[in-house]
Amino acid sequence: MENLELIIKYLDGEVIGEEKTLFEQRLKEDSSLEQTFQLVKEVDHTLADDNLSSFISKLKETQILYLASEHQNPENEKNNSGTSGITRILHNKKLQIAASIAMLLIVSTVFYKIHFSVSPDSLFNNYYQPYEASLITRSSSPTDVSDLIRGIQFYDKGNYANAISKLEVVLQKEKNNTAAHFFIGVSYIETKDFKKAIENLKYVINQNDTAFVEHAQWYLALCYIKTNQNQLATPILSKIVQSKNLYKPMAFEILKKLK
Amino acid sequence: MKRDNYTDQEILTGIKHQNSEIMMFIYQKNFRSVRHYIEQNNGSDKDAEDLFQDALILIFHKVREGSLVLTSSFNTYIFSIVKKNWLKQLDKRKRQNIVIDECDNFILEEDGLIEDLLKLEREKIINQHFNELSPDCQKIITLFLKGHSITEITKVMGFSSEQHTKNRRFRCKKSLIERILKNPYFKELTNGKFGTDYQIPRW
Repeated sequence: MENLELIIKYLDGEVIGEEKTLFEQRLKEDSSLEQTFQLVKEVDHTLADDNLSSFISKLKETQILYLASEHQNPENEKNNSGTSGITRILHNKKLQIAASIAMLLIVSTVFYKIHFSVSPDSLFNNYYQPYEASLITRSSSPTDVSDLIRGIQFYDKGNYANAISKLEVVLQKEKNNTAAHFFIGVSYIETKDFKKAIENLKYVINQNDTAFVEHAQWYLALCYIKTNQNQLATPILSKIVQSKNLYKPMAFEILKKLK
Repeated sequence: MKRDNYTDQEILTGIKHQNSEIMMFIYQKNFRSVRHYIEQNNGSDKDAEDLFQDALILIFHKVREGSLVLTSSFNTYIFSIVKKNWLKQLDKRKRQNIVIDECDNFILEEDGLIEDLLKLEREKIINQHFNELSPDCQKIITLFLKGHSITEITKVMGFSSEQHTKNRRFRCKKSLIERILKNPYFKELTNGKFGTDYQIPRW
């Protein structure tokens, strides 16, 4: 993988002088090196393409809205292409009544599936997983590290009550410690105090701490779902879907279910 | 103001400018027939959703490059792309009982769409592996590609030094490229083949 390192450094502008000339010469002669070089360029080009990213987001949003509109307008349902044919056949009054009853049953089933299979509890339970504290490698503040670490250790062991009391100590001394707010927020989810969970997670988002803001958005959206406030969850989930957030695929799935 | 109809040229301009109303119009006019076709040919509604998105992304690429000249109506064109893409997917899944007429084939071969479809799948795989990286890695790579300086990235990420940012950026990028290089399907796509059965990630 030596070549790969060289290619990345070259494209990042870190290969200069004679080394640069030598590398460019090698590129002309070594087809394998040239192939990898083109790949790295393609990756950069794809990921730097903001226009494409925004188009894909817009496309997903349009698809969700379109599919939701199909549910809201039964006449547009997917088998609509055959509907006019069926209507023409139904001149017989008895058949029309029977069809109406059948349609009522279908609509009731669809309504049941839409409204009950995505109940707040089932949605929350399907998607909620406590944040893995072991992933944390840094905190946003150097102070109160010992209390913070102890709090996170309690959290990591699933001892959420002790985690909350330890992290509260951190916040008494330093009220803007976003790491403490974040872990208290998730701990409150675990102890079913969603009001306090929401308060703390909103604080993290308002502080825009890059280490936690994406996770906080996800957990806040789940809190809103759990507490039946889908109107507040939807804009957060849309924001996640439009970003390169870790939770993007799951947020997208939930949005589809909520629409 | 919302309109009931748009010309093909207005549709293409709307795609280029990511116009919400025109994109919804495209779905309303075309998606149902595409889904019906895919479901009639061994596919699911999810397949139809993915193929329709692929077709629109491909058209977006071409419109942006200025390389798209319609030789049929927009509706025929998008349907042809979906059909051709589905044929390739079924081929990979070793199921070939699909109906594709000569007219569609003509439009597609003329347009070099196979190469475009291969590129689209490569882009999906790049995105898939990018999404597998840690959130920090994703952020560092994105900030760097957007032209932010090492100083800015260090500040935004809250890292202790610029050297640390440089090291992290390098490790993240290396990890991404290695994942892509190890993906056997990506290799086949690069060699111009749709290749073996591989579950292409969704956008």
